[in-house]
Amino acid sequence: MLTRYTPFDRTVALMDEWRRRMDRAFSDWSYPVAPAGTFDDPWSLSEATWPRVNLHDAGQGLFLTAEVPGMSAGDFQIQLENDVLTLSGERPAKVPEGFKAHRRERPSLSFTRSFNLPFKVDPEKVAATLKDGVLTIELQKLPEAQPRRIAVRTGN
Amino acid sequence: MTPDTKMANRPDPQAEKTEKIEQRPAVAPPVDVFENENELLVVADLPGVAQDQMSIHFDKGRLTIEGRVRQPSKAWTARHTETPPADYRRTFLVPQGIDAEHISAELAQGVLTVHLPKHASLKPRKIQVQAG
Repeated sequence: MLTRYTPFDRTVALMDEWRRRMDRAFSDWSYPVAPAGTFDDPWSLSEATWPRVNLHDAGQGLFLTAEVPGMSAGDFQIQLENDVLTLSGERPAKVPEGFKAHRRERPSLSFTRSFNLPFKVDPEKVAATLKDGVLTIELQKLPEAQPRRIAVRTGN
Repeated sequence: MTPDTKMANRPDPQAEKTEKIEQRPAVAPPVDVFENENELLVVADLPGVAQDQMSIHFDKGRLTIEGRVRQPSKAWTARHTETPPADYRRTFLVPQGIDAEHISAELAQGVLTVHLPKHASLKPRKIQVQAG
């Protein structure tokens, strides 16, 4: 059955749309839907998310980078247990001797963060480097988790 | 000579050589400010900034620190990102009495320290009392 679309219907439809948008306004802030716990989802990160971590996929391996300014190589503990990588450490930010503080924005903290890796990784081949205050952990995927190319044969 | 008459369509021989300027937004890094009788000390967290990507200006009583962040390799696919794709920039109004000639800075492990020494005339001094 066909019904005529009147201006009244249009107003109701607009109100409906408005109500739907208002319902969504606070649940998904950025569009399209941002994965939780990432920079695109501003509500899930806080000042307490320290260090900030990025995970990159390089095909054969994974690179986890963590922003850890002011830490030296001996300040970290990195543990790999099954697919869970745990990074812990302590970042001191002391007032230098004889100085008084006007402004403190850099926290002095100790932290532990655990990450569930999306692939199986080789526990023997983990390398960590620290440069310019960024810790890079390089992980190698196990052979079964590596991408492979599948050749298509022509059938006879 | 290319047959195309439009200048814009001709290939630019310099295009390969010149580095493309990437305009990225800038965020303010967290900063500590300390003072003792000789100097002001500005300490900023700038992870991912190499020494040659750092610039510090002092102009008309404003101290600006800028750092370009090393971007991840283009061959990588981001799985999870918590850091904004941005550089660092922050400007401070510096009080009078700073000896602009002797401002110095060092960058170590992603932490920048800027020393702003005070003019000699502002430093506290002890006045000897002489016997009359």
